[in-house]
Amino acid sequence: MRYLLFCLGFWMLFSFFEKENNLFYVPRNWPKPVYNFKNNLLTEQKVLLGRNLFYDPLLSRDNTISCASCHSPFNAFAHVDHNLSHGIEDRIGTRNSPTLMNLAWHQSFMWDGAINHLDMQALAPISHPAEMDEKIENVILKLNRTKKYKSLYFNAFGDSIATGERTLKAISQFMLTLVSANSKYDLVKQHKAKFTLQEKNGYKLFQKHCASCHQEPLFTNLKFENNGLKVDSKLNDIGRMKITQNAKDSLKFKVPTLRNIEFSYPYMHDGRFKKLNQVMNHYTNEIQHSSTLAENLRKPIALTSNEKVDIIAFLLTLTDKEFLFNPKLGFPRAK
Amino acid sequence: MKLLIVFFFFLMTNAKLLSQKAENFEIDFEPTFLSTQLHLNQYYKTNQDDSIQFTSFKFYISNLALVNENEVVWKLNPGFYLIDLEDSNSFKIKSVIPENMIYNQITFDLGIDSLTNVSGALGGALDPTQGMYWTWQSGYINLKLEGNCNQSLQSNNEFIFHLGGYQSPFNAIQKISLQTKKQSTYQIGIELNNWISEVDFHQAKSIMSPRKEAIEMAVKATKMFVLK
Ligand code: HEC
Ligand code: HEC
Repeated sequence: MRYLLFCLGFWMLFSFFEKENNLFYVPRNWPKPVYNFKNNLLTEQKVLLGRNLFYDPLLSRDNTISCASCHSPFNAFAHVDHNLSHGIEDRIGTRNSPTLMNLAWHQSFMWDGAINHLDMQALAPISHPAEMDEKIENVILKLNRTKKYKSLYFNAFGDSIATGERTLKAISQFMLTLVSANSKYDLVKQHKAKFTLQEKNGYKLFQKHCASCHQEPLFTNLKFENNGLKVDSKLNDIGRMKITQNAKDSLKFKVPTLRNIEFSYPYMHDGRFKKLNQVMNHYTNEIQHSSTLAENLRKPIALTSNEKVDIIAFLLTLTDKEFLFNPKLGFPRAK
Repeated sequence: MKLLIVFFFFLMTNAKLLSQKAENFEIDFEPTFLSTQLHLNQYYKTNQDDSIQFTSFKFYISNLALVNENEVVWKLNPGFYLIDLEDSNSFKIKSVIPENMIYNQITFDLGIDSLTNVSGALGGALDPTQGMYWTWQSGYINLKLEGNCNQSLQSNNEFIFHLGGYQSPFNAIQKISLQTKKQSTYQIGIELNNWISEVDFHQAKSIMSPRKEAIEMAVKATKMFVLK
C-alpha cells in the first residue's frame, strides 16, 4: 500500500513537470526564473484560456481593444509604429508599450516597476482610461456570460466560473510561455552557428559598453537606471521615482531587454527613437548629465561610425524568428 | 504525495485542536457613528454640527490572534476578512479555539501584510474584483472610506480615503490590540466618529495611493475599534 502511494505520488509529481516542460522551459545556462510556478502550475488548458483572453477585445469597455492591440506578436509583443501607446477611442497613453518576453525572469513590471507581480499586470491596462477603460468586475461578468469562455474555464479549472484570480492567472500563464531564446546569438553560444567578423566585433564592443545594463542572457539586468535621455518637457516622466517617491530614483527606468530589438521599434519609454542608429548616437553624443545618471555612462562612450554599425549588426543577431512567427503564440483560431 | 504532505502539515498545526476539546469563538463587529448604527448613504451630524455621509466603507482584517502577557497563544485561521458595510454578513468572524485557553488580548492587523501583497493573484476576499486592489500600482487597499461632508473643499464636498501601501517607508498596515477577558463572543465596536473626529475635512485631500498621509490617516483609523 505504501509502495503504491509512493509510486502514485511520484507519478503525479513527474506528470506535473512533464506538462510544464512542454509549455515553458529554462534555456540552458539561464538563471532560475523568479515567477513562482508552484502557485500557478502551467497546464495546456490554462495557457489556451490565457491566450484567448490576451487576444480578446472583450477585456475593454467597448470591446475594441485587446492586449494584442498594443502587444503584437510580430513586434515581440510591443506596439509597432506608435511611440506612445494607442488605446480605446484613439486615446494616447504616456508611455511606449514594451516587448513581452522572458517575463518569468522579471521581478517587477512597467517602465517604473509599478507592478509587483506578473499576475497583477493585466489589471493596469484593463482599468486605465486611455487603454481599455474597463473594470475587472465587469470583465468577469462579461466572461461569465460568454459561451465560449464557459468551456474554456471548465477545461482549465474544472468548473465554468470565471473569477478575478483565475482570469489573471490564466493571462499570466500565456505570457509565461513567451520565451525567446533561439536567436542567432543563442545558436552561436551553443556552437551551432558562427558570428560574422562584423558581428563578432560588435559583440566585443557591446560587452564593453552596454552589457553592464543589458546583461546576457536576458539582455537586461532588470534594474532601474538613468541612461541619460533628455527629459521630454511635455510628458515630464520621472520614472521610478513616481513609485518610490525617492529623489535618488528620478529619471530611472527599467532596463529593457534587447532581444528582438530589430522588431520592437520605436525605442525607449516614450518611443522617441525610430532607428537603432539614433540609439547609438544617443549613447555617444547626447547623454544628459544629472545626479542620477548611471555611473558607467558618465564617461563619454567613443565609437567610430563603423563601430556603431558593428554593434547594430550584433544587435540584429538577437532576432528570434521562431519566436516572432510562432503560430502557437499568435491569435487563437478555432480548431 | 503533495496531498499527504499537506495533510501531515495540517495534523501538526492542528494537533492541539485534535487532542483537546474545542470551543467556539466569535467576533461581531458593530459599526456605529456616535453610538447609533452606521448605515451607508445616510446623513449624520458630527459633534461640530457638520453634516456627513458615507457612501462606501470597507476594510481588511487579518492575522487574528489571542495573546497572553504579550505572547501569542493562539492564531486564528489565517484568513483575510473583508468587512464591508454593504454586506452585514461580513461583520461576523467565526472560529474555534482549544478549550481553556488563557489570554488577555485579541490582536489583529488592519490591512494586508507585505508578503501577501507580492504573492500574485489571490481569490476569495482577496480577489481583485472586490474593489480593494490598486490597478496602476500593485497593492491592496487596506481600508476604504468614501463620502461627503459639508466642510470638504473637494468637488461635491467629497472625500475619498483609500489607505494602503506595503513597502517601507509607506507601509500602512496597522496592528490593533484590544484588552479583554475571556468570553465566547466579542462585540467589537467600530465607532467611526473616533476616527472621523480627528480629520480636518476643511484641509483633508483625497488619499488614493501609498504615501505618508495614508499612514497618518490609518493610525487615526485604528481608534475606531473598541471592545464592548
Ligand atoms: C493601450 C495599449 C495597451 C494595452 C491595451 C495593453 N498594454 Fe500592456 N503595456 C502598455 C504600456 C504603454 C506599457 C508600459 C507602461 C508603463 O511602463 O507605464 C505596458 C506594459 C505591459 C507589461 C510590462 C512589461 C515589462 O517588461 O515591464 C506587461 C506584462 C503588459 N503590458 C501586459 C499586458 C496585458 C496582459 C494586456 C491585456 C490585459 C495589456 N498589456 C494591454 C500598453 C498596453
Ligand atoms: C547604465 C545602463 C545602460 C547602459 C550602459 C546602456 N543602456 Fe541601453 N538602456 C538603458 C535603459 C535604462 C534604457 C531605457 C531607457 C528609457 O526608456 O528611459 C535603455 C534602452 C536601450 C534601448 C531601447 C530598447 C527599447 O526596447 O526601447 C536600446 C536599443 C539600448 N538601450 C541599447 C544600448 C546599447 C547599444 C548600449 C551600449 C552602447 C546601451 N544600451 C548601454 C540602460 C543602459
